[in-house]
Amino acid sequence: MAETVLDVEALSVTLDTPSGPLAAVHHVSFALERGQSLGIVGESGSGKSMTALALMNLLPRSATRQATRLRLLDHDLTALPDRRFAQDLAGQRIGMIFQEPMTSLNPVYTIGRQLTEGVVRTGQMDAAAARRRALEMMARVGLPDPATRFDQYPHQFSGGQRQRVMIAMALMAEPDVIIADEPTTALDVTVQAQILRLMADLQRDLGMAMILITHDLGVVAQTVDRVAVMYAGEFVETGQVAQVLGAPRHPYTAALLHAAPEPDGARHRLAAIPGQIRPVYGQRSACVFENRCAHATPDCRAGHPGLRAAAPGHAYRCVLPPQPRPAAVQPQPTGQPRDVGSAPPVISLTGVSRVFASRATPFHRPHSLRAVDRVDLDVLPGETFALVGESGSGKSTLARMLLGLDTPSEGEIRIDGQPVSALQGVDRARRIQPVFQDPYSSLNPRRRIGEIIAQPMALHGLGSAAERSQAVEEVMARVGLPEAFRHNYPNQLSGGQRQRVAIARALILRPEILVCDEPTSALDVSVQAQILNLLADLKAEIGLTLFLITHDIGVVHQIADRVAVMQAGRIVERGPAARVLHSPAEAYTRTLLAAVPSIARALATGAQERGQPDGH
Amino acid sequence: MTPPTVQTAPAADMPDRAPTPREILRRRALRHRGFQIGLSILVGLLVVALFAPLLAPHDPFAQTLSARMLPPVWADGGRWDYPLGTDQVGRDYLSRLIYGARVSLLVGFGAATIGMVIGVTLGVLAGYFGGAVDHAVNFVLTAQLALPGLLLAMALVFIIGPSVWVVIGIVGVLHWTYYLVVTRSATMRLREIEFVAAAKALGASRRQVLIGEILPNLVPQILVIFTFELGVAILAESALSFLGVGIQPPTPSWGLMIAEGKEVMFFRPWQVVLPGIAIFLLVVGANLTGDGLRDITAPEGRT
Repeated sequence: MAETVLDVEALSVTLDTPSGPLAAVHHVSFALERGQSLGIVGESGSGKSMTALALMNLLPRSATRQATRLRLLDHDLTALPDRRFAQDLAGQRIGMIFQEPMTSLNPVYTIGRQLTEGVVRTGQMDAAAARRRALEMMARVGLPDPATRFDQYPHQFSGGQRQRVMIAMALMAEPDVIIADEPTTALDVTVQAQILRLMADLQRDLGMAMILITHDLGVVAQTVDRVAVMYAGEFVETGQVAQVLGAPRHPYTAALLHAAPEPDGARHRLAAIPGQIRPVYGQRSACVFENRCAHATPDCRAGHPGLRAAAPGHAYRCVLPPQPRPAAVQPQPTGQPRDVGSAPPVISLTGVSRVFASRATPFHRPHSLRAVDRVDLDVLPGETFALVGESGSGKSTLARMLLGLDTPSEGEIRIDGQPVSALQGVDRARRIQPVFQDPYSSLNPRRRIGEIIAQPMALHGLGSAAERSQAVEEVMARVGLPEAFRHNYPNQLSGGQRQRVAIARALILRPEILVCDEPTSALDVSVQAQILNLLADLKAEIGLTLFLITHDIGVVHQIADRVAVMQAGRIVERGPAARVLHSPAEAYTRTLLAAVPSIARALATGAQERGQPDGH
Repeated sequence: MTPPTVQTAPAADMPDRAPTPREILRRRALRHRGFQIGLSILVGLLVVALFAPLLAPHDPFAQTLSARMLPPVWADGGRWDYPLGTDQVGRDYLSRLIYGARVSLLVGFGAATIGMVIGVTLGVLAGYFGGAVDHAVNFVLTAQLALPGLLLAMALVFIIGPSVWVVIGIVGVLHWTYYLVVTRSATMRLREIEFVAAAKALGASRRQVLIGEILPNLVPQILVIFTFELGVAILAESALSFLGVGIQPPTPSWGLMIAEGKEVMFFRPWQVVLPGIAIFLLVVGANLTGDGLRDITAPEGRT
C-alpha cells in the first residue's frame, strides 16, 4: 500500500459573518495516497474552494480552521505555525494551481523569474539549477522553445500557455500534493482537454497526489480516480468515480447528474433542482439538502444524517432508502426542428465582415484584424439557432452587430427584411433583444428589479404607470419570478434569478428574437437547467426565435435546432443540430466535439480500462 | 417521477434576504465613528449658519466703541454680554463667528457644486466617448493642473473685483480636477459593463445612457469628492480673505477675521485663535465625513 501523503479528519472552516458563525466547511475527512487523485465537485457556495484554501493556509482573516487531524506527510498542520508552513511546506510539499491564468502571473516579471523565484528563495536550488529545472518543466508541460520563452513576459503567452506556466510553477519543487482549483474553467474546451490530459499524465508520472476542484462533473469523470460531492460545506457522497457518477446514492448527486445537459445521448427535458443552497449557521440538526430534495420526508429533518456505506469505499449522507433511478429520457416537446421551410428568414446576413483596424502612430504600423469574415447566415422564425465557437472566434462581435451595438465593415444584416442600420431605437428593440452572459453585470445595481424590467417601456415612454406595472407583473410571472422581488435590488437575488430578470426585461417589449450570448455559462449546473428549460418553454409558448451563442456543446445539444460552427471569424460548418453534433463533416468540428468532457464517455472508457486486466 | 416544471423551479421562498444597498450603507454608517463625528460637526455648523439671526446675541456689524478689544469671558476683564469678546471696533466676536459660518459654508457648498458640475460633466464625457473628446479634456486638465491655483484666484479676484459670488465662482472654477480624474476612470469602467450594452440594445439614447445608467453609479464617488472639495474651498476662501482679495469688510468671514486680528496677535491672541478653531472644526468635519463616506460606500466594507 502506498504512503499516505495527506490525511484530513473532520476539517471545518467557520466564517465570522454579521448573521453569525457560518460553517463554510463542515467535518470534511479524506486521505490521499501518493499517486491518487481526488475530485471535489460542487456548485458555487458549496465550500469546495474554502477546503482548498484551508489546506493551503490561505483562509481569509474572518475564517477559522478546525480539524481533529490534518497531516501532510509527517507534519501536523494543526500545530504548525503559519510562518513555518510558509517556509517549509507551501509550494514545496504542497502546491496550488489557481483558476485565472490571466491574473495569477505578475505581468512585470519574466516567466523565468517567476518560475525560479520560489525554489531559489527557499534555498532548495541555486539559480543555475533552478533555471535548468525550469527549462525542463517548461518542456514537460508542453511549452515550445523553453529557452526563448524563459525570458518572456506573461502577456506574450496565451491563456492556455499561461495555465501551463502555472502548472510548471507548481511542479518546480516536486510537491507531494497538488491542489488545482478550477484549473480549466477560464479556458476553451480544446485547451481544457489538453490541460486536463497534461495534469493527469504529470500526476501519474511524478507520483503526486492531486486534488482537483471543479463544478464540472464531466471534467471530474475524465480526470480523477475518486470523487467527493460537496454541498453546503460537507461531503455528501464520496467514492470511486464509477460508483458515484455511475450509481449515485445521494439525491443531490443524482439531481446534479440529471441537470447537466449531456452532449451524447437523447435529448430530454432537464430536471432542474429548485431553490438554492441554504447557508447553515450554527449546529446542523437536519439534512442540508432537505429543502431542495424531491424525495424529502419528515425523517430528513429528524437529525443530521451520518455517513452510510453503499459499497466498499462509497459512502453518502442520506437517511432515505436508495431511490430507483428516475427515467431519464423523456422526449422534449419542442426539441424537434420545426417545419418552417417556406417562411422568410427573420435574420439574414450577407457577406458580413467586421474589421478592427488600429491607427498608424509614429511607433506602430497600422494593422487590422478581421474578427468576422464574410459571414452569410439565415435564421428562420421560431427556430433556435446556435452559433458555436471558442473565444476569439468572432461570435460575440457578430452578436453585437445583430443588436446594433456595432456596425459591419462590409455586408448587410437584415432583420425582418429591413437593414439593421435603418432600424432605430424602439423599432429595433421591439424586434431583437439581448440576454447577456453575466447576470451580475447586465443589471444596473442601483435600480430596483421592477424598474429594470420596466426600463424598456420607460425609455420609450410607452404605456401609463399602471400599464407598465401590469406588464411587469405579467412578464415576471412568465419567467417564473415571484412578484415580491419587484422592490428588491439585483444584489439580493441569486444568479439564476438575475438571469430571469434579464430575460424578463428582454421580453417586455414582446420582441421576436432573443440573442442569448452564453446565457448560462456564469450559472451553476442546477440553475443552468432552470434557465434552459425556461428558454425552451418561451420558444414553445410565444414562438420566440432564439439566436444562441455558446461554447458549450451540451447546451447546444439541449436546445438548438440548427448549428453553425465559427472559427477565426468564418463559419466552417453549419446544419441541423443533430447532424452536426453526431456526424460532423469538418475536422475542426470533430476536434471541438471530442474535447467536450462527457460523463457517459468517461465512464465507458474508464470501465473498459478497469475491465481489461480481469477480462484478459 | 415527473420532472419539475419551470413554474415551481425558482425559489418561491425569499432567499436569505440580502440587505438592500441602502440598508448596507445605513449599517456601515452606524458602525463608523469618524463619519458620525464628522457629519455631526458639519450638520451642527450648518444649523448654526442657517439660524444665525436667532443664535447671535448681537448684530455682527454693530460697533460699540466703548467696548473695544474685550477678551473672552474666561479671561481677565471678560464680560458675559460679550462671551467671546469684541474686535478692534467693538463688534461682538461670537456673533461675527456665527455669521462667518454662513460665508464659509456658502462658499464651500457653492464652490464645490460648481467644481462638481464642471468636473463630472467633463469626466463622464471623456470617459464615455474617449478618443478625441478624451484628448481635448485631458489637455484642459493638464493646463489646469499646471496653473498655480491660489495665485490665479488672487489675480482673477483682483481683476473682477471682490464679492462673495465672485469668490465662489472663482474657487469653484479652479477646483474640478479631482472630480474629472475620478469620474473619467469610473465611467471608462462602467461603459464596458453589460447593463450599458443592454440599455443601448433597448434603444436608449446617449443622454439616457449617460444620465440613467452611468451617473447613478457615480454618486458615491462624487459625494466623497464633494465633501473633500468642501474643505478645500473653505480653506481657499479663508486664504483669499486673509490676503485681502476675498470677502471684503465689514462682512464677517473667518479668514478675514484672522487677517484683522493678526496685527494684535501677540496682545490679543484669541482674535486669531477663535476663527482659526472655527475653520479647523469645519474642515475636519468635512474631511471626516468624506473619509467616512469613502469607507461606507467602498465595495468591500472596510470599517
